[in-house]
Amino acid sequence: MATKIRVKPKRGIRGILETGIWGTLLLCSLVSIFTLAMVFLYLVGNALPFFGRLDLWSFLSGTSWNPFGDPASYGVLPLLVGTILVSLVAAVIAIPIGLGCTIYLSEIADPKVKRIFKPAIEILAGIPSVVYGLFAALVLSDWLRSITHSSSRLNALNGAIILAVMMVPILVSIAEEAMNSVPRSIKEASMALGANRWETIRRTTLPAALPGIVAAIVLSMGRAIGETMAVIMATGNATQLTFDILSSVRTMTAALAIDVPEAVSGSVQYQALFAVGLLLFILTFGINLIADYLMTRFKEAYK
Amino acid sequence: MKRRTREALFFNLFRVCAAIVVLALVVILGYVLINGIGKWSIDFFTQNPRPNVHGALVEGGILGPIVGTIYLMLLVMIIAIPVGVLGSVFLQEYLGSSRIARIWWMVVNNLAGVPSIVWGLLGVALLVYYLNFGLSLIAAAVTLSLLVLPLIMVATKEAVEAVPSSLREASIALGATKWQTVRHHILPYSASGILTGIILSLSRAGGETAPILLTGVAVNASIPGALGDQFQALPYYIFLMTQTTDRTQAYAMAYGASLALIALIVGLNLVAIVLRNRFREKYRW
Amino acid sequence: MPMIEIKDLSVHFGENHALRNVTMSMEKNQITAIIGPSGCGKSTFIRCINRMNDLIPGCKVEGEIIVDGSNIYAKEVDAVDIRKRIGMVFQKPNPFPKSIFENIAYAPKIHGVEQKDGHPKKATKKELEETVEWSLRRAALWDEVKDRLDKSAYTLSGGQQQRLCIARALAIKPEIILLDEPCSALDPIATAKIEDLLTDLKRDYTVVIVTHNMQQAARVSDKTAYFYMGELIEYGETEQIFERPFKELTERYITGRMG
Repeated sequence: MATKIRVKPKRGIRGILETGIWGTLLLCSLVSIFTLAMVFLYLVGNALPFFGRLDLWSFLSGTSWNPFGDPASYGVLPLLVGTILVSLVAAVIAIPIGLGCTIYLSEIADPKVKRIFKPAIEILAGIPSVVYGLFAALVLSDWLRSITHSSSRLNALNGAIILAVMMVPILVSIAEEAMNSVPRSIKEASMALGANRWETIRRTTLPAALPGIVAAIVLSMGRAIGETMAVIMATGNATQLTFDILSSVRTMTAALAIDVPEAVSGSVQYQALFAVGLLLFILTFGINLIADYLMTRFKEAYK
Repeated sequence: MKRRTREALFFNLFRVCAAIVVLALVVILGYVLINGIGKWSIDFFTQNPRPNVHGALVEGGILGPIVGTIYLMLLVMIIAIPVGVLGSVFLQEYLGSSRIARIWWMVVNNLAGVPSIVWGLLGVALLVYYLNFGLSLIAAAVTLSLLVLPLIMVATKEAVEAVPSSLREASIALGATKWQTVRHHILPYSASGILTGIILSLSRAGGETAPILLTGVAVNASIPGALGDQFQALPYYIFLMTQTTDRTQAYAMAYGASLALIALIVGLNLVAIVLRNRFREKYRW
Repeated sequence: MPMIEIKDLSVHFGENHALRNVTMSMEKNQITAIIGPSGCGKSTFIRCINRMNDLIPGCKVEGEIIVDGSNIYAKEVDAVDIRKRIGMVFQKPNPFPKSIFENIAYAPKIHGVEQKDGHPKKATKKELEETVEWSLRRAALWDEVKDRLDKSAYTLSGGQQQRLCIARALAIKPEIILLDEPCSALDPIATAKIEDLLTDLKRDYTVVIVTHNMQQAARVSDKTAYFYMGELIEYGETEQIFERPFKELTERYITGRMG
């Protein structure tokens, strides 16, 4: 039967075991903070010495990237322009198509179609980037060439198109969530005032979901900027500074993937590459912060 | 233009957008399937890549790459799952919605957006050089684990959040400790969501190329016998095949390998769906 | 000696002073009802008795609660331990999404069976089965579920689920049972069954029940405490509280002039 309630000290062995478990769990969760700190520290740590040898402005504005050449040059501008060119063109393609897709998915498609369409988007998101790169290198480039007759088969446009395909799933999934979070009440209010479905979408739903949609766009661009394999296989990787989308370009990510395996630890090239990595990290981190801010603002509006 | 006409116009435009996306999926997968299936044979899966008369590694099979990728995924599973799942559970149960927790999750979410090549850089600097693992299976596996850690943590967090707090209270009121509650209730009830996150992360890890490029994958590595060995991997093999000059042979191999990689990922996802449904059935509320 | 003695109990949730200087005592084998309007602190009060408020961040508890001679808020006391001796049933039935058997067997399984020397040993399958049957009988649920112990608890009706929760609380043989508005989510028939059950349970247990239903308090309890805005206004024999309340605030609540 029940025993008398007594004042009992925290159980001995059990108490220690419990503390031990929580200690382990604490360690596991600390890993994530340490990781971010580490990423930043190692990037900065390895990149900083480079800026001791070459100043920041020459790095950012130098028009020639040839770290292993003789003489070596460490201007990141060709790579930066390459990245921005490919990503921007990809965005120009992906944003309209992605938004159209989103509106279709959230407002127009009937449930049966939705059940096939949504998994299709998820499958697109799950295809590894090498497979996209493969397609761009082997198939898409030839198709483009037959239309544009460009001198480089592998060029920025090729990369941009395949990047656009990769951007759409992210854009659609986040933007769709934003559209679905818009309260039904205001949509119904619009319809009750005599607006048809398109007018309701255009004047009520889209503006209401705007922060979430912009966040979706921003995040998908972050993905594009950070993509490596697809662009390596699609853009030709020439380190020339150019704004011609039909010419071969090299992105920052491609430069890292191609040059780092050749670089010796601690050498100038190694440090220069980390400087590029740091720049890339700052770019994408900044993009993520913007997206975060937008999402928080959006979520608060509909608490 | 009449309002109704305008609506119809735009809606058709959006339908076209959706069709384009589906078309892209069908075309890409179609190419891989049609060109890849021809290469599939017993030999393809049981032989290592072999050089042809010109020295290009375009003959033989993809055994080495497949084994390498599987080893990587296994290692990532061993490293990232305990840390990610348990760490996330700790944050949820102990720190709840405190300010520290919110900052944490902001950090984790931002980590999820770091480009994979940057993870590769971290892997090189920290694991290959500083910790002296060298270009190796373990360096690549830890790098990949760090990459997927945020994904696992977020998936776990969402699964745990879905468990109603009334169940937590019921357990505590019966005199269970926090850990007993987690072990007997929280984890089983969120298992379905956690598993989905784990499988998605493993798929992601298996498909990544950039980080392993910098941390240990090699074109002519043999099947690794130890953690310090270099290795081959499916995504890297596919990449290589597009860089050689022996086009016809190489391209065929690339498609075959791509199909294998996709089949692997699809297989994993199917397992995930089965497991997820089983857990959902078992602990329905 | 009373079973539960509350001495100067005060509870703060951050800035919010939820309970002020509550002092009262409850005797063994009696049913004490806690009544009062929404937000008066009844739930906060009852959750102090098994230290469930410890789970809420920012909660500060002052004063003493002396159960069977020992202050459960003393520094050295292990809250987890308390809850083995004081069981709780919640407002909305919350069975685990497991089988009926596993719901009841959970607590005995993790706590083990107390031996004569005070150290618990792991319960055997037979012991668990006996405990489950005993608990279900005691909660007047056995006959309804004996053939489907392996089915999910969620196949039961609301009233049955709540009786299951009571059985689950009984399984580790506590001395005190706390019920926080146990019938508010149930229909009148299910409510009546639980009220009968409580009257039966008080033979062996000390029962404290929070209820917003005054008639229920009048039907079931021996003593009633009326709370308002975090303070204990009046406490006495149920008959006295409902027929001859001393305080005006009490009277206003009882007669429905104040919600």
